[in-house]
Amino acid sequence: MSGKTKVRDIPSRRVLLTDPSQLPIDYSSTPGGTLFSTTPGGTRIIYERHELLQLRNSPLTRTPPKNLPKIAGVTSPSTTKGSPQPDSVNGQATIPEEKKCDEDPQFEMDI
Amino acid sequence: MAGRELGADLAGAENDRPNSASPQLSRAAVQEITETEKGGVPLNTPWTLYLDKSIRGATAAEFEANLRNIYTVTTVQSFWSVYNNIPGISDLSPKYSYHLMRNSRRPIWEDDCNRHGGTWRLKCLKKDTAHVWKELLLACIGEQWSDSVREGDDIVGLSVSIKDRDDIVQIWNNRSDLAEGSQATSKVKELLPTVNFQAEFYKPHQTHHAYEGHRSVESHQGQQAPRQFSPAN
Repeated sequence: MSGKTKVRDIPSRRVLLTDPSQLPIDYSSTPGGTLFSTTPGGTRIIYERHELLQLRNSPLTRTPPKNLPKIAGVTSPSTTKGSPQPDSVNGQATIPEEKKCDEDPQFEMDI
Repeated sequence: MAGRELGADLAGAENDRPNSASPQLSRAAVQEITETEKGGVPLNTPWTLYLDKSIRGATAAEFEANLRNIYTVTTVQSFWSVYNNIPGISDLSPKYSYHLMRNSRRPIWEDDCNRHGGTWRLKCLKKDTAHVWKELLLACIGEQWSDSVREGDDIVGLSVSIKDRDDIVQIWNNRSDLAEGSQATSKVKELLPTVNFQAEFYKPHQTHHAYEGHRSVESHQGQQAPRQFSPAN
């Protein structure tokens, strides 16, 4: 007879990073220092939206990966669509939620 | 005050402590590692992006043959590197879909790893699709779903399908038996408070009319792509 499994939340905390250099160099650690191997249930590497957006225009992201397969019209784009919104939203991590619908540049083809 | 370092203060306050509690690697070694890793910020798991063009009435095998593996991303930078350099949602023609799947999982219902899962299907207006897709992509690679699914379940993929009228966004989970009571759609609303979805419901893969059962799973096994990091097939 297995009794009801007691569900408890894994305690977690959010750590704010402002720069990739603040990440632990050891990939088995998560930012803030929890260890994968010793945390019950494992710890996920969690990133907030603005942290991800901060890296959107970092140098490595301007060009496609070198080994990106060529798919006509997809990874070798045939059209460049003028976006009504300039690319300047990139890196603005603090865009209010309400504005997101309007500011979202569907995609930047300017690189 | 200019140029004053917080670290100096700390060192002063705790004399017995060397400059920091960081690991014992030299600056040069750290630099080297950083360069080796190309400065990439690691994702919790790799994610693989696929493209397909739907064909009405396609079998699983036909679907599979049409499925293009675009790239497997392992860092935040490689994610953006791909995202920034492929057509955005508004440039995709009807019938095309993008799929972002955890690890090397393919967006095929019948695959072993997917058989017991399903998707939340969200119908969204064309004006919202690109925004919805981007925000949900970030939620996936940022692992924002963890608290929104039931214990034992996991979000394992995201698809967007461009249709003639409204588009369809799907969030894949691992276990359809744990879909009920999940907070996944609440999370979507939290992430996208301004978007009104035209419809939303959950559908286990096995309830699809076109679901082919175990047959195709076996035929897939032999030609399963390398586990990960394979750029294309």
